[in-house]
Amino acid sequence: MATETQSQPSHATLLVRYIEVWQVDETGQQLTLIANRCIDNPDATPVAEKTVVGPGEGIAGRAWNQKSATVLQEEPSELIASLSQQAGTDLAGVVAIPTFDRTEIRGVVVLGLGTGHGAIEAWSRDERDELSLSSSWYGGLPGFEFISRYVRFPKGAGIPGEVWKTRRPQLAREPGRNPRFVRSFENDPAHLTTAVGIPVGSDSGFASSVLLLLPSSAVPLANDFELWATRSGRNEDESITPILETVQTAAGLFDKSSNDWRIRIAEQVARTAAPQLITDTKLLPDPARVCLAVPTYHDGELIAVWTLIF
Amino acid sequence: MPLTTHSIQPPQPIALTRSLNSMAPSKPTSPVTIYAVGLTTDAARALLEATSLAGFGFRQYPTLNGLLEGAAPSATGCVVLGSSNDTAQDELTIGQLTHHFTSIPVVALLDSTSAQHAVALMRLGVFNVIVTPVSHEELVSELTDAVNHSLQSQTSVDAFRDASLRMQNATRKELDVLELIMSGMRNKEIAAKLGITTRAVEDRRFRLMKKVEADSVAELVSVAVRAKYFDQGFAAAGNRSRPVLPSSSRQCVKGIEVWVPDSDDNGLSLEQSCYRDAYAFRDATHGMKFHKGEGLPGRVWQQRAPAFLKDLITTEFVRSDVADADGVTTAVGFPVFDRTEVVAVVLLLLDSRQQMRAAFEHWEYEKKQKGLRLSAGTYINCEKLRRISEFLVLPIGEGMAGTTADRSRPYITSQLNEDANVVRGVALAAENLVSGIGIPLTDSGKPADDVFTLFNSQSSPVFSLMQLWKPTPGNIDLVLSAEYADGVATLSSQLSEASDTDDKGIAGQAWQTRRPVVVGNGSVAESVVRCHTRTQLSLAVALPTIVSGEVTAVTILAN
Repeated sequence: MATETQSQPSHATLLVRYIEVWQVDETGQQLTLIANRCIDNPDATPVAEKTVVGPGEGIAGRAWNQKSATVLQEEPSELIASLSQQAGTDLAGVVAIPTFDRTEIRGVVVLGLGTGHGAIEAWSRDERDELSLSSSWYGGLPGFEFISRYVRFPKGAGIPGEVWKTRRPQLAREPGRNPRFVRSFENDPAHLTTAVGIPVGSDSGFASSVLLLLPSSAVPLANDFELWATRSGRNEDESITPILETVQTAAGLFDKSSNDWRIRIAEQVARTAAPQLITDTKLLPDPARVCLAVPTYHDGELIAVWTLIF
Repeated sequence: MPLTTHSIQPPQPIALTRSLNSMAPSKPTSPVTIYAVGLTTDAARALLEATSLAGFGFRQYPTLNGLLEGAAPSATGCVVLGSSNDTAQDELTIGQLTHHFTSIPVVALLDSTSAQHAVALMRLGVFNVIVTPVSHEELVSELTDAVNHSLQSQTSVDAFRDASLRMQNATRKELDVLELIMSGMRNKEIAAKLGITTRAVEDRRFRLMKKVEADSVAELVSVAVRAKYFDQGFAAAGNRSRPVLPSSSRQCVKGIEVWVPDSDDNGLSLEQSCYRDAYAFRDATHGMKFHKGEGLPGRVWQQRAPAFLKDLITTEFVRSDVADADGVTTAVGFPVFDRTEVVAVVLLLLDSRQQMRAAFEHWEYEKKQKGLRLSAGTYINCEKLRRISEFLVLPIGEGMAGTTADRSRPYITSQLNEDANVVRGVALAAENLVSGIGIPLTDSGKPADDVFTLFNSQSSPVFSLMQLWKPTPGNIDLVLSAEYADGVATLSSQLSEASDTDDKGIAGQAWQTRRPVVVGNGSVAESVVRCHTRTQLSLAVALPTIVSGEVTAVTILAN
């Protein structure tokens, strides 16, 4: 595997400070913590307060129980304080994203957020069958935050509505100038560079749309975000294997044309149908980096993998 | 004072034509008209002969008001005024004429016995005084001089308007740099003076040149000079108080019409109107009637809700041919209710080609949404605002529309990005919309179910003056409770000085009649009581708000 770079990645100004990856165990009754990591201090081994939770327990259990993405900012303070302690750093917010395979939740990704500019929003279907803001985290975007409370997206409208309609993750560049992003205003002080929409829901019903608004390089969410569109193919032994169709990147950290490592990660994710925190130095182009890989399924097929690279 | 016929020789076909041709101005690129008012029949006839020989147009008006109603402020030519020999009267007349026209000089016609009055007239600002008897040739010569002056002035006005529009988005910091450039300083000296880096100086200069579309610093300076930044001073220009543009540059409002149902409720007839430059449109409208659902007025009447036609040429606008000819490109109509009845339909006729930005909206309460949603609207050069507005739900009491609905009274504001009642402050500011008004429409009690909102830009406001009048307790008096002129709020202490009890103003008239009142051109100055008098006004409408049968407010919109 070619090494893209041997330099130590800078994590000092990333918004995501802490990651947990939970998977539903074989009984389907519990979530088990399979990996966690402090981005600020990758050599540290964070000690989780609990490694097994039931529905509704903790942040991961809450997202599992609600079958919907959850974003917390400041409240409930005890949950954030507890996670901050595990992370070994002060967290200003948390986002928990359940991942589905057909009708079942297979895992939950928990991201602990530091302070900085940006926005993470969870848009959920309401009783009027539109998407309205159910929970959110904002850093330094008071005008944007204010107006977002009043927005409703029907299916197909705006990035959240597009995600709902297509059931696929969406990536939009330059939200301030992008007509797909209806809340775009060129005088936005945070200079948002990328907007990412991630579907959260089972085949039987779309639950919510998570919107990640990635700020300027000053305080990015991660060192890079990648979105891989996939489809199912068959190996020689007739086993199903994911095939990469397109690769989109926010920061272009890795070469888009060298996809061996991406396919390997997609295969690993497909085997479990659950999110993975890839720390295996052999799997990534840069052994100093880690990759959170999260699958998106539709009609039982893996249609996309979205990744945060640190 | 008649011109004595022996002084004006009947035109000799060949000789006079030759001499007239040598004196006639080169053919103007815009229509030139001689406007006559206050002349005797003989004098008017003689003037008509002179102007037609010179190749000018000619219009005679029996009264000053007729002239001010019928002639566009941006016209070129001259006014020939028969002097009354009463200095006070002449002063009033000449003042109204110079106030109305941006570049038309006034020529006074005076008989020889009133020669001394000529001095007073010159002091009042007339361009020239013609003392009769005068030869035909001299008359044409004087008119030609006046016309040439008009043409030159119009060119200056156009240049000023063009330059002002180009400079309109300059920031305070950019103007600071420009001012120092124009004083002869170099970049390093400017940087030291302003306490910034040389790079920052270059960045600001570059940004300003890009906004102004200037290819060089010399061109940038030239635009600033033409926009009179040098004369007026940068401080005034940079304090977000834009230079007062001649009224012709704010001619986005071409007319206001008030249509009312007939007594048998069979159709809408035009009750009041005023127009600016839209003569063909005005003439075509005379005598028209609309049934329910017919035309834009009929549609508003039938729907009991606002209706918008952004591009009249491509829509079903009944008067689209004359609209095209007169530059009326957009029409907005909204109803006025009294209890459950639509008692009037107000139509705003606009020219949206004038680099204007504006938004007109109808918000409707939806029970299921528990808030107001955008039902319809038209957005002129503010597409992003339209896009976000389509997805908003404004609860009662929030946002412009929600606040208006909650109060069941008009709500005016000019601090769109700072007003907590304005949800879309960021979006409005991004579109350079600086002031707005919400008007409740339905008389369904509190809160209102329907709200009409309008947003203005600074440089080309639809209405440069917005006022809110309220009756005092017991309905004894009508007092001014809010006023915004050119996007700036009048101080509360000044508002208390204004009242309109004696129905002299249109606010009082609308209050008493419970119906909209429209005034135009020469009548606006005396019909709109106001604190802020800097803005020149040509059109105004007073709109009563009726809640549960009572007039709770009167809104004045003027341009």
